[in-house]
This record gives sequence, C-alpha cells and structure tokens, in this order.
Amino acid sequence: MKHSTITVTLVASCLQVSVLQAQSLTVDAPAATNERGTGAAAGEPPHTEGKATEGGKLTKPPKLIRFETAQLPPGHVSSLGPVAVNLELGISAEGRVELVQVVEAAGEPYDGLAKDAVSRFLFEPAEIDGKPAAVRLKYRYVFTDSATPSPAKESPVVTFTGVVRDKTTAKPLSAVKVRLDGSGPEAITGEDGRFSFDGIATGSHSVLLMGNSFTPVGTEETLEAGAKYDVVYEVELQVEKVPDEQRADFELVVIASKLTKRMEAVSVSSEQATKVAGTGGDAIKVVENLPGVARSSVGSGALVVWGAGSADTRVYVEGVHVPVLYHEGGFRSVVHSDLVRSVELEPGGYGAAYGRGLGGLVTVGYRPLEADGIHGSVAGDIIDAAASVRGSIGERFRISVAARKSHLDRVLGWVASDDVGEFVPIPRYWDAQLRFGYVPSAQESIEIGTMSSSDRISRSFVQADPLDTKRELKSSGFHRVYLSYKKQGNDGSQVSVVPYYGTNRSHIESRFGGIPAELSSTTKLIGMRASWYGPVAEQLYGTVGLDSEVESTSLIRQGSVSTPPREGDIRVFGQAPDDQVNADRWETMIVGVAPYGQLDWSLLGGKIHFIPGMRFEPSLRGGSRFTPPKGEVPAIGYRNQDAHVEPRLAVRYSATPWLLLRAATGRYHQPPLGEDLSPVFGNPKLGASQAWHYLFGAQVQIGEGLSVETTGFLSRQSELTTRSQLSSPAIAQALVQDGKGRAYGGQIMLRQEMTRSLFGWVSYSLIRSERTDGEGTTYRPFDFDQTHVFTALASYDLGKGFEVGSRFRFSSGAPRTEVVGAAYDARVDGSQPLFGRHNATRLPNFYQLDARVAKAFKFGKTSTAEVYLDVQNVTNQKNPEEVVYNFDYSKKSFITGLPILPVIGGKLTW
Amino acid sequence: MVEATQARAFVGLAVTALVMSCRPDLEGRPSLIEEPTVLALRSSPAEALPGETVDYEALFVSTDEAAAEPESLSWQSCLLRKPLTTAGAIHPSCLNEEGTGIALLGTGLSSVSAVDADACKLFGPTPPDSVGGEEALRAADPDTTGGYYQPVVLREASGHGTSYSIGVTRLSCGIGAAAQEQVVNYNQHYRRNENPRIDGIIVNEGNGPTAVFGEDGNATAITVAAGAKVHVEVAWPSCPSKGDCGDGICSVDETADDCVNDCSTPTGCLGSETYLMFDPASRVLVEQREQMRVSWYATAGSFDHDRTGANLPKRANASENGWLAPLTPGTVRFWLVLRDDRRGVGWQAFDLTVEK
Repeated sequence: MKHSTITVTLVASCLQVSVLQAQSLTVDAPAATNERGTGAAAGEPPHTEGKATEGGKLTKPPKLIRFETAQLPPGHVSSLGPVAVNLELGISAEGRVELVQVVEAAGEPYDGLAKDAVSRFLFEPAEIDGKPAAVRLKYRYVFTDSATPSPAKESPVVTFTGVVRDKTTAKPLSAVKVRLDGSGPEAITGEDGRFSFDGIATGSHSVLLMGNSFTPVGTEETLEAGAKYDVVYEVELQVEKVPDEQRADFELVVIASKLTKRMEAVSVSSEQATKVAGTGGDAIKVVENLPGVARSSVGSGALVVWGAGSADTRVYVEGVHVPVLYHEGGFRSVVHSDLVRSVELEPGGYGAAYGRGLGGLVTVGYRPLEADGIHGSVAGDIIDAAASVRGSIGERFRISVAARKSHLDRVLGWVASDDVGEFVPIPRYWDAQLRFGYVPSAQESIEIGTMSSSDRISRSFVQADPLDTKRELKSSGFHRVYLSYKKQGNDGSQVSVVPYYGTNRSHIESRFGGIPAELSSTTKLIGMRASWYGPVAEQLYGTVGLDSEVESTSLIRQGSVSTPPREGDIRVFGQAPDDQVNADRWETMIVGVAPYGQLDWSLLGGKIHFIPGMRFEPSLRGGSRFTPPKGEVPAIGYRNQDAHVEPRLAVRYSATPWLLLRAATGRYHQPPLGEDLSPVFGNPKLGASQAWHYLFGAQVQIGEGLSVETTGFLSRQSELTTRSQLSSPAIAQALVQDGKGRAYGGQIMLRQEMTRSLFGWVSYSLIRSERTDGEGTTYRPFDFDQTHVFTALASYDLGKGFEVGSRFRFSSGAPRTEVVGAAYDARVDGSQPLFGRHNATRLPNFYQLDARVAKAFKFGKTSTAEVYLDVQNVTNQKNPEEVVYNFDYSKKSFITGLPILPVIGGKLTW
Repeated sequence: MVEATQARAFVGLAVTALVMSCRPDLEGRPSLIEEPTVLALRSSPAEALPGETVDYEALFVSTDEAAAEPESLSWQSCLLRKPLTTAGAIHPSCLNEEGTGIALLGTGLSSVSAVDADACKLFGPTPPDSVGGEEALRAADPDTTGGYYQPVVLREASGHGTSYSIGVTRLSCGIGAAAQEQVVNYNQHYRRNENPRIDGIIVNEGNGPTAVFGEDGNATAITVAAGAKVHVEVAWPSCPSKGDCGDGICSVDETADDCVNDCSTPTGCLGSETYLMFDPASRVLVEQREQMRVSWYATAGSFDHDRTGANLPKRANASENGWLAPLTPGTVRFWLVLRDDRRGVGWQAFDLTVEK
C-alpha cells in the first residue's frame, strides 16, 4: 500500500543546537497576516507543513483508539529513568498499523517491545480531502514507570514551572496542556501562560505541549536535584483552525523545531523589532541596537561589529551573498521587512558553514511563501514608500513581490529651495524582491527569486574659488538571481542547495577643486551554497557542505593613491586630497571553493554540545595586470593561489535549566578586495588576511521573561592590508600586508521579553579595537573604535491599538588625530595640517533619546492600518559627528548630527 | 489651507533636520591681514631643470611696515619624498625643527639656490635607485597638470614660535610611463611654465572704472567712501590658443624648426598658458590651458570672496571681486596674488584711501 506522508513530525530539537552558533542574536520578522508554518532561517534546513503530500489536504489527523502496553521482562530495571523509542508508523486507510520502523533506537529490549506494542495499535483513520487515507507519522513510545519498574531508591523531587508563549508575538498562551512523560502529570496554562508542576522526580522527562491553536509539540528536560526550573516555551501558532474533535489527543509526542527553548538562543520577535523607536518600522534596523554593534555615524549605515571593519562582516540573504545590509545613508535595509522572517547577527566565532570574512556574519532568512489568500501591505513616510504582495497560485505555486523607493529628493523639492541638493547629500534608492515558489511535496521546496538594490547620492558645492568647489557622486547597487532547493528527509536530515548569479556595481566620483577622484567597479559573481545535515550516529548530527563563489571584477580608478581614504589614513574633514594623481584600469578574478564539515555531539543527555568543524578554503586570484602601465609594454596577467585550513569549535553546556555556558573559537580568512589589487593603487600580490576568534559567555534566566546574557571575546587579526609606510615603495606595492589588529572586550544584555504589554532591553558593550600599520608602528585605536556602547529601549502596549516606545543610546566618540599646527601651503593658498599622535583623541561622547507613538486600527478580520510618529533625538542633543577646522587650522569646532527629527508614517496591511 | 501649511511646515522641519548635519561657521577670513604673514612664495624661473639656479622670493606682509621684513626667515630645501600615507604637500619631517632631510638654502625674504641634481629621482618620474638589486622602486606621481615639484620651505622664527610656508619649483623632468614616441613628442612641444604677471587693476566704486595699476606699472591714488561697495578687477596677459609665429611666444604647436623667432629661446606667455601633458587615464598627450586663481588680501574691509577664478572661462584674462570698504577712514593696503595651476606665481600691491 502506498502511503501519503504527514509531516506532523518535524525535525529533532537538537537541530537548533547544531546550527546555533556559540554567539548569536536573532531577530525574527513579523508574522504576515495569515501566515502559516515557520520556514527556515538562512542556512538552516527547512521545516515542513502539516499536510499530506499527494495532492490532498489533511482534513483530519489520525486518532489513537487502542493503545497497547509493552511489557518489560520481569525484574528488568532501567537505571536511566524513562526510556523512549522513536518510531515511524505507516497507518492504513482503515487505521491499522502496517509499518513500524525504529527511527531513534533506545536499545534492546525496548526497541523490540515498542515495535511489537505499536504494531497492535489501532487508529481512527486520517482523512485527506475528507476521505480516509493512508498516512505516515512519527511516534515516540515512552517506557514510563508503569512499564519500567522504579529504582529501589526514590529520586529527589523538584518544582518545574514555566510559561508558554506565541513565538511571533511573545504573548502568553492560555489553556495549553503541558503533559510530562507521555501519560504523566498534566498542567494547563493560565491566562498568563504559566504552568507549574510540584514534586517532579529528577532526571529526564518528556514534555508535551498541546493547544487548540498549534500542532502538539514536545521536547525533553533534564531536571536536577536542588534546582528550581522555570522555562519559557515559544510555539508558532497555526492559522488554519482544526476542530478539536479532529485533533490528536493520544500520546503522540511530536518533536518539532517549531518550539524554541529560550535558554538556548537569544531572539527578539520582529513584531517587537518594528516597534523599536528609531527603526522607522524596519525590522532589520534593530540590529544596530544589539550589543557588540558600534553606532554608525549619521548617514553612513556602516555595520561595525566587535571592532571589525564594515567590509569584514559578510551579509547573506536566504543563503545568497549580498554586498550591503543597508541603503546609503543608513535609513533603510535593502530587503523589505514583509519578506523577512529573521536576521541573525553573529559577531564572531561562527561555524564552518561560513567564511571569507574576518568580522561578523549577518544572515537574513525569508519567511515561507504564503499558501493561502492574497496578502500585502503599503507603507510610507517622508523618506520612502514601500509595498508588498504575497499569495499563492493553486496548491503548489506561490509568489511574493516587494519593492521600495525613496522620495526624499522629491519631498525636499516641495519644501526646500531648488539648490538644497548642492549643500546636502540626498540619498536616492530603491530595492525590489521577487520570489516564485513551487512546493512539489511537503518535504521539498523550490524557489526562484531575484533581489535588486540601487543607491545614488550626490552633492555639489560650487565656490568662487576653483579649489574650493567640490562635487561628489556615489552610486552603487546589486542584482541577484537565485534558485533554492530544500528537502527534508524522514530521518530528520536536511538538504539545501542555493546557486546564485548576480552583479555588483559601485561608482565613486569626486572632484575637489581640480583634483579628480574616481573608483568604479563592476562585478559579476556566481556562487553556490550546498549543505546536508542529518544524524550520523546516536547523539551525533553532522553537516557537510560546499560554499563557493567566483567573482570577476572590472575596475577603473583615477586620482591620488590616498583617495578615497582607507582605515588608518590620517585625515581631517574637509582636507583637500593629495594632488599627485595616477590612473589604472584592471580586471580581477577571485575564486573560492570551500568544502566544510561540522559535527554536533550531544553528551550527558543533551546538556553538553560539542561542535567541532573544519573548513578548507582554497583560493585562486588572478588579474589582468601585474605591473603599472608603461608605454606600449603589453599588460602581463597573473595568477596567485593559496589554501587555508580553518578549524572551528563551539561548546555549549547547560549547567542548569537556567544557566547556559558557551565558548567558541575559530580561524577565519578574508580574500583581498579587487580594488586593492591594482598595480598602481594597490598590490596584485595581496593574499588573504587572517583572524582568530575566541569567545566565551553565559546566559542566565533570572525570572519570567527576564534574562541576562554576557559574552567576552578576543579577535586577533594579522596580514591586514595597509598602505606602505615607505616614501618610495617597490613598484606595484602601494599596499602591503603588514597590518595587525586586535579587538577584545565584553558585552552584557539584560532583556525583558514581552510579558503582557512590555518588552525591552538594556545592553552595554565594552570593546577595544586596535590596529598597527606595519613595521615600526605601534597599536593605535581602530578608526571606528567605540569603547563604550550603551543602549536601553522599551516598548509598551497601552491597549486599544496604542503603543509607545523609547530608546536611549550612548557611545564613545570615534578616535581622531589631533591637529597640532599647520603650515601655509603657498602653492595653493591653503594650509597643510600638522598632526599629533595617530588617533590619540576622540570625538565627544554621543547621547540620544528617541521616542515612538503608534496607533493601530483593525479592519475586518485581517486588515490593519497603523500610523506612527517616530521622533529621533527628542532632546535635540547636539551630538558632534565630526571635527572641522577653519582655513588655517587655528580654530576647531564640530559638525553636529541630526537635530530633533520627527518622522510620521503609516502602514496598511491586509 | 491652514492645515496644508502646517503639514508643509512639519514635513519641512523633518526633512531639513534629516538632511542637515549642522556645520559650524568658524570665524576668520584669510583675506583680512591683521598680523605679519606670508602670502606667497615664488620660484624664478617657475620651472627648472635639476641643477639649475632659481631665485626664491617671499611675499611677506604686515599691517605694520616696520615688521615687513622679519628678523628670522630661512629657506630650506626638503629632500624627502612624502609617504603615500600623507595627503599634504610635503613630508611632515620637513616641517619640524628637528626634522631630517632639510638643506638650508639661505635667509631673508629671498634666496638663490640650485635645484637638487637628483630632484627627478626624488620627486619626479625617474624611479629611485633600488638598493642591492631589490625590486624596482616606485616613481612619484605627477600632479593634475602632469608636473613634478621640488619643495622648499620658508621657516619663520618669531616670539610666537616657528611657522612654515611651503613653496615649490616645478621640475623639468619630462614624463614617465609613456611610450617612446610620446616622450619625444612631449620633449619637442612642452613649454616650461612662466610665472604669471598682473597687468592691471581696475577699481570701480560705481562712478566708472579707475585703473590703480596699469600696464605702465604706475600706481594711481584712489579714494573711496567709507562703507562703499567697490568692484575690483585684476587682469593678466592674454595668451594665444594657437601658435602665431612672430608674437614672441613659443606655443605648443611651434618649434625652433618652423618658428625660429619665437622658439630659438623659448619664451612663454605670462597669462593663462597652453601646455602639453600626459594624461595617465587616457595615456595620450593632451593640450591643457592653465586655470588662473586670484587671492585677494586687504588690511581692512571685506571681500565678497577670499579667492576667485572658479567661474572664469579658461581663456579669460581677468577676474573681479567685490570689496566693502571699512567704516573707519584711513589707508587700506591691498595685495593680489595670481597663481596658475602649474604653480607659477605673480603678485601686486596697491593702496586705497578710505574717506568719510
């Protein structure tokens, strides 16, 4: 008999463990209206829906009507307490068990006894499209005290309490049955979502959560003597209501990754993220408020994580490498929030699946394509407007389209003088995403998608003096086309293949007086990420994969060697660039094909996870020109290659139910940028830079929804690309790999999850990032170092659709090099500044208070209109963003950042 | 209508706040001379071969005639090429009392010295000598006019400390990284730079122009009313865009073979000259015309602009500026410095009398 497959059994909960890095912060995107299921974050294997696979729809789950007890041999005593055997059952259209397979063995005699007992079960048949049908399901048979004689000595008992919440909204769920050990004690959550068990024996216990609004989910807890256990379970609600009478009420233990145990990961629901003051409703913008992230200066949007340069942090959207996370100016992210399910920031110490970056890792995961109805949103404020439409075509085809476009330039034309663009940089941008999905079965998904983003920012400042006239233009963008195939096996394995093709373009052009500067690059890239994840032995899961990317770049540059400036250059704002100029036109190709593997070894009943990994990173670099152009000498190309072994290791230890300890280390390499491989402006011989990350941390659950997470870290970088310190370097060696870096510090975050109406967090990061520039130089502060970063934010639901929120930020000023004097430059009737010690002073500290008020109106069952007022810098604090000097550097002052900035906007969702 | 106006005002406030990072208005105008200061340094000739003798001259001014020649002015040659990490005009060590790479040239308002014999290796297109067979070293990059320069420093020691002024002599070093044919062509047609000359200054208070300094070199006493707005125009010689044999100027398209009169002893124009340069982007020889800039200085009153020249068509031979006379009667001293973008310098001074 042919069986349909019901995927009510999903992935083992330790899947989360294997992909969870030692240090990660997760922000979940808001649930779209009528969304069902979970989908997967980038890099994670997919989850599937509770549906049959053969064209029909599960209209009634099977119901156990006859349970058979397995009898252990007389005198058999388990020293392990309850013992469970995970089985896969094939149930006929008549409700008989026709197939029994052991998925996760407990050893004999349990496996055989369980198979024998289960084969005699009788079910009320499942129905697909209203007709009885054969199905498959997974079943956990638990040998409890009734089947396993209790040890002679009584175990100590503990109190086990917790709260069950909606994962999307973080709101408590009432009337949820919490059952222990299959048929053991049961509690029902109250209005506050809380449950409590007293007198529970120590040891491992299965926990089953059952509610009207979600598929039963289960997990295991190991309770130890002398401790009080207070856990948080977050479940994803299913939208499609199933009548209670059709719901399985038997002892079916579904082990599902839909349930997140809050003691294992720090996460913020995206619904919360969009409510944070200062984000303008952009969920991804909340990343800037997380610990370890430096405040970016006004108009930059640069992501500086744990003291690493913004170019050192890799960004992936649904497994596809993209060059930026934010548009120019930093007002918005490059992906519409309606499409985003989660964004995960890993400041360091991440696993073997990713590489080619010395800094952090940002992975943005799309939400699953919606299977029912047409949904969408339109939103707008003074900066931009956005819209999205999502829906399905038949049962198997799904589509989603989203786009955003700035209109600040037009708004300015309406309210300001025509020449305002000559004085202030006005960002112009747009982005668009298209997704087309096909679901051949409940365990497979295929998606073709595109992502596009474009930015342009320009400014002209015309003066009577030709040397004071400045023109600046910066444009950039990227396009991606990708194919995503994901499949989940019955044994919990996951396969993911994501090939992609795209282009990046960047054009920077400036003219400072008569001095031109131009840097243009066009990159074509082909990449593919492929991985398999699954069980390889008892208590051991494995991941193998391939991360490959080929970049071919054409570049044009002219101007001075020192323009545009790079990290480590000593400059002051407004200083004229060097007037010694040159030009080059070259091409590069960088190839990386990295196989990797990682294991997740679960010890002591899952209390310890030992996660070693290894990544082999061979790299091939080539270029069109090895030496600067000279006369009619033809260009000579080149090829360089190297290979690096990158060991990674993470260890997680759940010392108690409320205390999680973790540590990680890893080696990372980053290939040179194509723009640094110019024989005129850079060095074609540049190789990969290297970093070692070390981190350790702890997470403590200290009360209902209240937790503290702290992490210490050290990152040591070497072979960094810096400018040659020589007056006359060798030909084609304007850049060298003599730089070193170190970043160290710690961060702490005290967070209150959404309880009834309030959420928020307080975080503090103490980070010191330093660099050396080559031989004879000593460590100096990194240009973007911010030693102290403090963030406090909260949002409160006043009821009746009203919400208020506030955010306070403090950060140290960025390092600057003091101007200690000046020489008169009689060549140009200007001044040349004389500098003191490199980066020995700092800009003044930054303080800012933001506030947000929102009112939501509901229309019908699924439509909502929201109007909000987001006011940045409520106190009109004049925060210095840059030092500026007068004409002869005898007086200095500061360019201050945004004054009080009210932004009013609205969003209609259906 | 009221609501629309309020909405517009609100959006205006928000947008203005959004795009305007507030830049402070720092005090001080370089055009107002209040203390002794150096306004210009000039090398004569403006462009020289390595080893060639040049005269260095400083325009050192003050509101007090007695302080017009300071006690301690010394000329120094800087023999260090600045590192790639430095954006300024000169190696920072040459602007330090204990600095290295300095050679004393002389003292006073002027000095005579020879350009360093290795200047084209130090600052020009000739690669420096590599040591011990190591890799070939990088030559200096040219400026936007294709030029290379020997820097000089005028060091002034006073009771307030030591100050430095940076000047240059343009080097006749040819071009680097070009094809042999281009090098030959360049050497045949490139004309050395000449220091520009101010030919005339015209003051117009609204009653018609008055030449305060004409081509005859004689100054005319001018009186203006206190608080009056005055337009000042400065002019320099007009230079031909094409060669005209017999005009006394050896142009880019003339050689000694086809115009002996002009090119047997090549003489340049004292205004905005046409010159040949090697464009590193297109890698061809191109003709360029010098852009002229005027720096305006006075001991009182205020100019509309401290420097002008931006909006000039490249062939123009004059620039004008507005000047608001002070309310206090007296004599106001003016200095006008004319620069071409090949670092040639000329200047002129005159007085205006301000009356009630």
